[in-house]
Amino acid sequence: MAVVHPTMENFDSLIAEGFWITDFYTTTCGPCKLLDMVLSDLVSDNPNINWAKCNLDDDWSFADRFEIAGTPTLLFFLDGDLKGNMIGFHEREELEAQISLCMYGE
Amino acid sequence: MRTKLYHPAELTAVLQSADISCIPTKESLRDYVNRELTRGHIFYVPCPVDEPIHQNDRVTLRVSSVLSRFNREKVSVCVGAGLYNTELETAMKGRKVGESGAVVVKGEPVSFDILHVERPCRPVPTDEMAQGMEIDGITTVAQFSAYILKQKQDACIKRLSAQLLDQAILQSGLSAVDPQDIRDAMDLAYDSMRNRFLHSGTDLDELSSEEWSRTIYSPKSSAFMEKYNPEMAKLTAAPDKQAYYDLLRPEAERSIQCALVLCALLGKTDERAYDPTIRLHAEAPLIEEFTEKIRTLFIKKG
Repeated sequence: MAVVHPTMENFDSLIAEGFWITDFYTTTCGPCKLLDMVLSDLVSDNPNINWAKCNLDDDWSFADRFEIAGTPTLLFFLDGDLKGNMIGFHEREELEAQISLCMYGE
Repeated sequence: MRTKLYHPAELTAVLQSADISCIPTKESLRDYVNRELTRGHIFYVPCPVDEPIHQNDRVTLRVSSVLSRFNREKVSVCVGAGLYNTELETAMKGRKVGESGAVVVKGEPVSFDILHVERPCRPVPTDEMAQGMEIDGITTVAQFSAYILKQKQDACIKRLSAQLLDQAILQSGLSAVDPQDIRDAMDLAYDSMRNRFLHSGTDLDELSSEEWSRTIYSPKSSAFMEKYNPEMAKLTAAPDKQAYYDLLRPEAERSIQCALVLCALLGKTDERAYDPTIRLHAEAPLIEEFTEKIRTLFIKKG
C-alpha cells in the first residue's frame, strides 16, 4: 500500500478497512523526520500495514478533531476503529509492540 | 617535522591491490533501485491454492485457543513480520490453503486453519514513484537511479580508500613517528581548543582539575557524542589537561601517520601541504584527494 496523504473529507472512508497508522506531523519537527525513517522501513517490510501521513501545517483541523497536543503523534486504526496512539519518537521495536497489540489485542 | 617522509615506492603495492570490483555499477544496483522506488507500493494478489505459504505472504486464518488473541474466526497475518506470533507464523510456512496446524503459546494449545493466501507483488517503477521520493530535482526513474548510484559509489569509494590507507599505514611501520612530532601535533590540537574557550573568556590553562571537568564535560553533549563521535566523547571525559593529552596521543600519532602515508601515495613533497605538526588535521584534505584518486582509478577501469 502506498503512503497516502488524506484530507479531512476522505479520512474516514480511507481508514474504514484494514490496519492504518495515521501519522500527524509538522514540516519543521525533528523527531517527526526521525520517526518517518523508522516508519518507512517498518511499513515497507509489512505491506499489510497502511500508512496515512497528515501534515498539520497543511490542515490544522486534524489536530482539533483528534486532540493532538504534540508532534509526532500516531493513531492506530483497525477497520475504522481507533485502537491506540503513540506520541513522540519511538524505536521500531516499540512501534511493533504497539502495532501488534492494536492489530490483534492482548 | 622530525619523522621521515615515506618513499612512494614503499607503498606502491597498496594502490595496486585496490580491488575496485566492490564498487557498485548501474547494473548491480538495478534491483535495489526498483525495490526502493516500489517500497510502499506493494500490493497483494491471491495465491494459487496448491502453492505453499512463503515468507511475507498475507494469510487469512481461523484460530482457536483459550487465549482471546488466538480465538478468532478470521485474522489476517503477514508471515514472518512477527506482529502476531513468531511460532505460529513459522508453523504456517510450507502449508497450503485448507491445511491446519497447531502450536503452543504461553503453555496453551493454539490451532489454526488456513483460509486464504495472498502474495506480495511489486509494480513496475514509474516517474510518479520517483517524484514521491521527494528528493530535490528528481522527477524521473532515470534521475533517481543516477542519484542512488552516485550515493552508493561515493560511500563504497570512501570505504575502500579508508581500507587502503589502513593497509598503507601498517606497511609503513607503526613505530616510525618521532615523539616530538606527536607532542607538537597534540599542542596544535590543544591550542585550537584553548583558543575556542578563550573567546568565551575561559583560559583552560588557568583552570583547576575540578573547574576543567565542569567546563569541558557536559553530560548531555557527552551522551550525544558517545553515540556519534566516540573518540571525541573520550576527550571530553578527560578530568584535566594531562589526561586530555594522554587521550589525544593515539589520535595525534594516527594523524601524522595518515598525513605522511598519504603524501607519499599522492606524491606530495611540499611540507606545508602535509605537515600535521604545523597544520591541524593535515590528513583531512589529503584523504579527500586520495578518495578522488581512487574514484579516477575506478572511472578509468570502468
